[in-house]
Amino acid sequence: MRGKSKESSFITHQVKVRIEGFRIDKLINLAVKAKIPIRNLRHISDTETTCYIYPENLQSLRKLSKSLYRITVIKNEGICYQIKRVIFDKTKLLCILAVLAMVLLNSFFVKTVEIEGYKGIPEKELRQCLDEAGISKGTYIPSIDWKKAEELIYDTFPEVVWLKIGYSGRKVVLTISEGEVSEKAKETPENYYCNIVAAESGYIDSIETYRGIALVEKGDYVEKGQVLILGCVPANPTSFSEDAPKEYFVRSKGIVNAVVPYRFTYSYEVQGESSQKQMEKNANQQIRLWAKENLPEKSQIVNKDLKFSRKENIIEVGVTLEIRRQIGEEQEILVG
Amino acid sequence: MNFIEELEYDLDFREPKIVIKDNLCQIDNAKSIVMIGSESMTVEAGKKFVTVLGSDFIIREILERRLLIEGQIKGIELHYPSGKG
Repeated sequence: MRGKSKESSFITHQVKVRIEGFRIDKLINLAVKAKIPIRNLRHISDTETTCYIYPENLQSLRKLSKSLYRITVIKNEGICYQIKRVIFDKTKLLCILAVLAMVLLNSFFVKTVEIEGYKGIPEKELRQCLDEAGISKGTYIPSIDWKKAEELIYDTFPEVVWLKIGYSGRKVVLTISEGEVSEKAKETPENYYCNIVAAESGYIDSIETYRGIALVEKGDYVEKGQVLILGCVPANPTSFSEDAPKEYFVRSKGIVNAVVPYRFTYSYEVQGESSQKQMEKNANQQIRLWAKENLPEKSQIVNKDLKFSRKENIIEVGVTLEIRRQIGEEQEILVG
Repeated sequence: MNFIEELEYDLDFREPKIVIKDNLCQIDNAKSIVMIGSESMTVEAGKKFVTVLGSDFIIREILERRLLIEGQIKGIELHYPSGKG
């Protein structure tokens, strides 16, 4: 009896009964003697009392009451009883199972996508990128390829230096950290290998190599298209693996200046006499115009030779120039 | 109270032992409930009768020889069976 009385009253199945009759205390004493546990006995009136008993004791109490007392069950209480009721009620059970299934299923789908840490990159673009990677509202979480999403963000936004993507419950959280990227870098992606080749034929004046192997040196004559800085660098493998690569590729970088000879002629008509000074002045004007159209920026005229020949009123000018200019240009290496 | 007296008190089942705290009253050595009323409740405990005076009584538990009564307790009365008081 004591053991049972110690059980939590809200878990165990209990029955609230109403006892009606005269001298209810006599029935209570009989019940105590018969070891029927009685709880929360409340006096309503001299002929009416309510109390809680265990359902298995209800029959015994009725036997004890004989015909002197009327015992009515008011209600059943206890979680165990409620569970039993639900289990035996198929409709309720099905409803509960359906709700549970819905909740469980919902927990596998993304509800919100949160993005943190962005400064320069618009949130809209980041969301679009996540959409492309297959992460958006309603996505089935186990099907998300997190690695692919990471790679896509790194590729799309080179200014992202660190990112973390994960989920907590139904919420996907993307945290990024942005670095500085120059405008030039934004325009030209650096994810390819290349050699530096000569854009023009000429004599090497200076060569500064930042990445790759320089194949020419100062004073060398190079033809147009000749490789100046090689983007294929031999590797010194430190492992004993047979498949270790013997070379690796880089995006060559360097400044190569060369003295490039240029020749061109032009003619113009004059009325009357023209002095040497006037002809030279005219030639300089023409050279400036030509240089503006044909030479890259920061080009420098090292040497200049002018030859004038006059046929009646037409003056023909032969110009020979030695220009110091940057001749290196990138030529992509196709690997594989 | 020396040890013998304490032992005697603990093992004495003939006298009622009453503990009252706030609105809870515990009566040990209870044999039976004699009367339940709206303003009093009488219990036979040991050789005596204990009447708890007050209102809104609820018998929380009836354990082996122990009764837990909750309600607005105003007083306790002890009665001796007739001819023994």
